[in-house]
Amino acid sequence: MSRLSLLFLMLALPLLAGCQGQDAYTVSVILSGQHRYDQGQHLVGDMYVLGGRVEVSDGATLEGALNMLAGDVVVAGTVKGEVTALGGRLTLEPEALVQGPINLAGGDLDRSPGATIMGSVDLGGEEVPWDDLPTRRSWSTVILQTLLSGLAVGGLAHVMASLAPRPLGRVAQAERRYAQVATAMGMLVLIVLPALLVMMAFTMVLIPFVLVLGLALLLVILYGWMGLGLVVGGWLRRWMGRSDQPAWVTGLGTAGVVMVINLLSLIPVLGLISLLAAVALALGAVLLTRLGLHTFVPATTESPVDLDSYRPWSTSPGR
Amino acid sequence: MDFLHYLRARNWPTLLGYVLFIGMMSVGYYYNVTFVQLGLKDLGERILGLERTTVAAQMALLALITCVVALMTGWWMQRRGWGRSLPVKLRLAFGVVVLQTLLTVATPWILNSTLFLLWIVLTSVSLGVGVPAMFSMTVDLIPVRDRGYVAAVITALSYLAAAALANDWTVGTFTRQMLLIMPPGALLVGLLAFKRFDFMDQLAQQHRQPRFAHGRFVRATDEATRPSRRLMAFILFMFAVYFVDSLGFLRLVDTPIFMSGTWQSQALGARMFIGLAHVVAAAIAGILYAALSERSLLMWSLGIFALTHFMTMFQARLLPDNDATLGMPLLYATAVSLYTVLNFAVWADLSTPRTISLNSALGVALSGWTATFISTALAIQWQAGGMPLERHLALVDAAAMIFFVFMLVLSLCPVGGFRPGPLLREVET
Repeated sequence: MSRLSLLFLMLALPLLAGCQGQDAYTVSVILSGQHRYDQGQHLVGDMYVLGGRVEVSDGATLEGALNMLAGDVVVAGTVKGEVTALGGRLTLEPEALVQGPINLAGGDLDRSPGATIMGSVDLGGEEVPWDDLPTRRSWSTVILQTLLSGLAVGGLAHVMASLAPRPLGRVAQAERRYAQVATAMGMLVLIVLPALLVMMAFTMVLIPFVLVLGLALLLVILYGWMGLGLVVGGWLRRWMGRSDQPAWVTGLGTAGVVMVINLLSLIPVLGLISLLAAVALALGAVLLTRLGLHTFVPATTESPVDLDSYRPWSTSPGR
Repeated sequence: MDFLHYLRARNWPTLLGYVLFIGMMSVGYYYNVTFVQLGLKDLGERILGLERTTVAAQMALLALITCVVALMTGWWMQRRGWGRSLPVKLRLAFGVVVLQTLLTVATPWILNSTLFLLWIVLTSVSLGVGVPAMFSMTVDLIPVRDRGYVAAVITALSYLAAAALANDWTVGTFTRQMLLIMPPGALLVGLLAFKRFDFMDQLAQQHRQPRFAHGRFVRATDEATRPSRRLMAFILFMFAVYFVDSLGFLRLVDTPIFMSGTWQSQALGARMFIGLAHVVAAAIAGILYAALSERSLLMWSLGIFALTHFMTMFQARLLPDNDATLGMPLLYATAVSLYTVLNFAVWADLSTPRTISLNSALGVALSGWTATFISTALAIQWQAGGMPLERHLALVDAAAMIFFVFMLVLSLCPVGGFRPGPLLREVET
């Protein structure tokens, strides 16, 4: 897609926001101010309250879930769905009828004795029994998990090195030649991204994007580790005295990288640091090479690095 | 990194140049962010009992005078060709340090608003002369490829010191701290400026070398003395960053729930966390400065600021009774460190030894000080008009988003890229 097309798309996107149809189902997001649903009003859809005050009067019906993060909600009418509160204050008047369960993870519930709740009421605060907490994994489990994860990602790397050796090579090159820059870029993303994801999640409506972004992040990190596997595969190739690098060597290198990262992460403090460094390096290299589609050259370097000097796939018979 | 090259070659004069520049800029910046910005507020509000709006207006005045004096000094320096003379720059810096030391010594005798105003005017003059004089030493002392790293060290040292040492936010504490550093500093700068040393002769000639001469955003053949469009674009975007930062921060430091996440936190742990966050972020910024294009650098700076202010807005709106978590200052420290590193390195990289004095004055004065002046004036007006915190932050968010989207659109526009000239190629080989 050309830059102009992207620009057009960016400008067109906000316009689409105004093109919603008048569907029966709606999602209401209350951010601030006072909102009142009077007798006879029938609201179909979920409601997210992030602030302000909402009043569901006697005779009004909310046919959907009520989710609260903050603010005040006063119910004197009917809520046909589940009520979940992470914060804020929920008041149930004597005439209130809640047909679904109430889950209170935070915030306050002021329930009038006359209010009817047909579902279960979970007020939170229940302690998890100590015995139910996950116990430390046994060594055999650790070794099995390490081997399996290494083999799985190694297998993926083998496929990747066979199908798209050039993009993977570019990522590997960025990791090897510009490890410092890639790690710095990865760390910056690791600082910024959680804040962005949390903020998106707080909007509730963007939660699906958070899940997609989270998955994309995981894939990007795995991709970066495959690049590291290519680098390690290069060392293996030289050690074996081969002039070419078949895809299976990259897979083997990646499996080794994943297993080492897995095992290192078991060490307190040092394990966390090495895991963060490996994630940052992988993430940074993939982003700097724009998913491996461009060769990364630092801005202050005039001539691009000769890719032939680091192109292990060029004579690979394994493809 | 050229520093390692000089270290291996045991080129002590050049290495001393690094130390001199880092020392002067770190102390200068620490003086600015603590004594001038916070000490002035404490002196005016607590000791003299002036109204908050009066002190804020005088801070805006300080920014305005500094801006004018910096522009005049930069223009004059370029006209006289002083940008290529290290001894002259050192003499100007000596004058600045002496004046600032005297102003620091005089602080306990500032007992009425007239003296306070005079003190502000003189401080502004010292800052205004100091900006072009000290920033233009970059072309003499720091090679082009190391400017990001050096800027990172300056940023890290200043913010770490500010977080670790500033347990008491009073002008008295700042005065005592500065009086420990400034007199020996003035003596050292005076010696270097007026006494002849062989190593200083070598340093004074370094701006003739390609490694030092032309910044990374300047063509080697460029001898124009007028500010370039690239410089103006940088000024505009750095203005945006400063403006958004200052407008938001002015209100946040006065809001109790956010104070625990700033330097004004009483908890040493929180302050050290913020200080370390600045160090890590400065290191990241220093590395990325040399590696990323100018568009990417500006995008990151504006983007992180927009995100930071959105987070603040969420906190203010959703959890108004809860203290801010340390995640927010981490993001804020990252954003601040990123643009501070950019600010320390970029003006020299947009200049030649001939244009450095005016360009750095234009850059720092028009982006930093003008933004401070306008944002302070706006914040006073909004607060005086009784604007609630939520509305204030919403406006800051809107400004941040406008600047960010503008930058995003600009980054997608097909504009011819810039390639460094032959001198940088020479550096590479």
